[in-house]
Amino acid sequence: MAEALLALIPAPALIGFALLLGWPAPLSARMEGRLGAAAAGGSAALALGLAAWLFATGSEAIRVEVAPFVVTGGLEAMLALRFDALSAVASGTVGVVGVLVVLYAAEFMPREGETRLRRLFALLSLFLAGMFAVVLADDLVALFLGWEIVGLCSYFLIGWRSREAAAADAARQAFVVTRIGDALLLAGIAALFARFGTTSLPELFGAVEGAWRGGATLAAGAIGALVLAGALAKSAQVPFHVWLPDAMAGPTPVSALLHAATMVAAGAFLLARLAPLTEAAPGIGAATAWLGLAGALGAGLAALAQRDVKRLLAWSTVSQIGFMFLALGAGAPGAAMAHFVTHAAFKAALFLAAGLVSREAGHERRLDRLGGARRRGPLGFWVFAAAALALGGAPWVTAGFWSKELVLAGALGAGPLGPALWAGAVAASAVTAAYAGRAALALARGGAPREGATDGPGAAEAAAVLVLAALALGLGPAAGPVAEAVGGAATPHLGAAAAGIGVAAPLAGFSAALLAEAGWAPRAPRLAAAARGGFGVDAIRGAVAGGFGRMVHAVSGDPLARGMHALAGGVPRLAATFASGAADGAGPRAPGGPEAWRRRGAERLARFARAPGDDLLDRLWRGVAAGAAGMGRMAGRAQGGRLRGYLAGSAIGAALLLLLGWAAA
Amino acid sequence: MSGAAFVTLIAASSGLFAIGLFGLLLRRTVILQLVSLELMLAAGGFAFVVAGARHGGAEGQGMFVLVLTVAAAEAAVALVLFVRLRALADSADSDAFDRLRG
Repeated sequence: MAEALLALIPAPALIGFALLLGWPAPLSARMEGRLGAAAAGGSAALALGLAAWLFATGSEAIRVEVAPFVVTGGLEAMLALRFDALSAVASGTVGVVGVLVVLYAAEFMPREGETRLRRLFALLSLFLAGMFAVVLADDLVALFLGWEIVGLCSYFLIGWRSREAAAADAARQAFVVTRIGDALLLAGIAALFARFGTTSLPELFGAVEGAWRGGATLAAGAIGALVLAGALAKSAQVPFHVWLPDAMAGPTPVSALLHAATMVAAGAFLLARLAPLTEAAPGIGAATAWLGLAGALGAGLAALAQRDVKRLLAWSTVSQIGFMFLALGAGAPGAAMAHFVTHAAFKAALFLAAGLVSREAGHERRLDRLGGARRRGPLGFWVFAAAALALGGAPWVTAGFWSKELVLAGALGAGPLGPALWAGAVAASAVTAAYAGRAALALARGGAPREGATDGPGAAEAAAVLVLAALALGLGPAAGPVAEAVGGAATPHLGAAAAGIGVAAPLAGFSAALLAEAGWAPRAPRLAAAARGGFGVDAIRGAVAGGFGRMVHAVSGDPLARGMHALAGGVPRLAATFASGAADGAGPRAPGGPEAWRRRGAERLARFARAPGDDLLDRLWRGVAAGAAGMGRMAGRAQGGRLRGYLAGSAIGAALLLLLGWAAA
Repeated sequence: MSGAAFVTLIAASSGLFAIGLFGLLLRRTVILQLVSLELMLAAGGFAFVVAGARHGGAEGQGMFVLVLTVAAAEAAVALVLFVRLRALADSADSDAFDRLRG
């Protein structure tokens, strides 16, 4: 019975896709939305029912082999599905977020004046089916199938407004970057098959347990690295974080579903699913944890500097998934999955509420123009505020706090370097609270309601955001049981001091945001300066937004040189924006006092940093930039248009792959 | 078939493949490139037959028949393309068709 239901979970989404794509007659816009919602809802109901059954009966995993998928000589890949605590948690989350987002989209998109919705809902249904295949798969080939469907749908959905050049570019960039990861993951799967002769997960774990536990081998590390690279690219983690902020060119519901709650979390899920494998491979855990921390901290700082609400949310997604990777690398997949669940709830709520807020402000996305959201549309504002509290991890009352505590505990328990990871994660959590607070406060700022902007939320939109907000606040007590059910290494109990710091970090972040927003100037000038700069965060933010943001551009070849130049010029520009930001933010204010002091200081800093100079260091720096530009031109030359050149490239690539296969086997 | 004979024959097929590949890379005349391509296909077919003989099965030879058929179709398409390209660029040099450069 349960097995039959398990096999049926992706079916409604697939049927919805087929109907939306292939129904021979035109459908009304309402019908299209209903069909999409029914498809998502059917799958979600099945997944939730089965999860309830699993946890109620306390059964172990169930497995069903739907059909033989690829059968040739040595390879027998079954389309096998598995339902255990991990798949239950993940598929339940995907289902709930999926159905809410589709419901929201059914009302939101027509009101945005969008057409061609049939294609949108068809793609969303196919996307959900692929996502279910990823989280339910019990065979690497089946998992990869879902993984690719998700990637393909993501390409179509980011570029859904295909007439906008920015959307098409963003889609192409996302496709290319994730494709690099997909190719590496495929190589990892192939190497696993070459080594163990199976793609079935249970058999693979058994074989790995026997082969790798004894002594770490080079091949184990190489395979682990390939799998990790696949996960990093899908989850937009350092160094593949490039594509996610630009992917916000897609419509808001798409951003909420694909690039916040589900698809980018697929990489984290993959690592949780393959935890026995990546834990046995040497060095992979540490690499995952440190890359996750780099993402959590770097993207958090970048989010702090964003001016567009959707881009801010995108960076925050990179940062939050960094937390998940940190927990995964620290050997606490349970904590990672708990954060997966709460993140899905609050990030979807944030995106959907941001959609409402932005529409009510006349399609405005710049944070400094969104003030007064509370009076224009209280629902969107309050949901955004509640979800921002959850994102920042406001202690005790939000779900985000509980899952982040689990991640911190997992980081602390991660061997000798645990305390360092923990300290970094605490800093990242303070930064998270600072930017979450900043976004919510920017919306709360005064500002008269715009004329005639009474475009309030409809019933389905309101229901979707309210349910998500309730989940973002109320899921806290579920975080612990989820982590326990998914398992992994037992999370150590946090000592009172560590727990206290974990509570204090978000509070410090929120207060920093509050102080910065209020422009509050206490008598002690040094404290005032620190507080207005978000306790030093503002100062770092330029360096990071300069470096990290430009690194983003840098990865794609020619802009590398520009990025380097920009980085070199970043310091003076930072000082200048600092000064002008002070001028803008302060508004008409009496001269003198800390405000003027701060402005004078910043201007002096700007003059200092602009001071001309051409010493050895400058020349060295320009040399690096020029070298980078040269490399970009060289890379461009590779596309010479000549058949023989391409052929030589693929011949060399094939030879290298053969060598790699020979070395791995 | 002994192991040594098998390895020798597979090595011969690899050599044939490499000759074809280098021809394809170094020749600039489209027709000679096509000839090299045929050589590569023949090398693949040869490897199929050798592997089939090694296992005493007929599949290898069956596969070769398939390769032969595909090669015939491919040659027909390629020659049509060559005629069209000739009309387009008035040259048989494959490097002359480089308008898709980045």
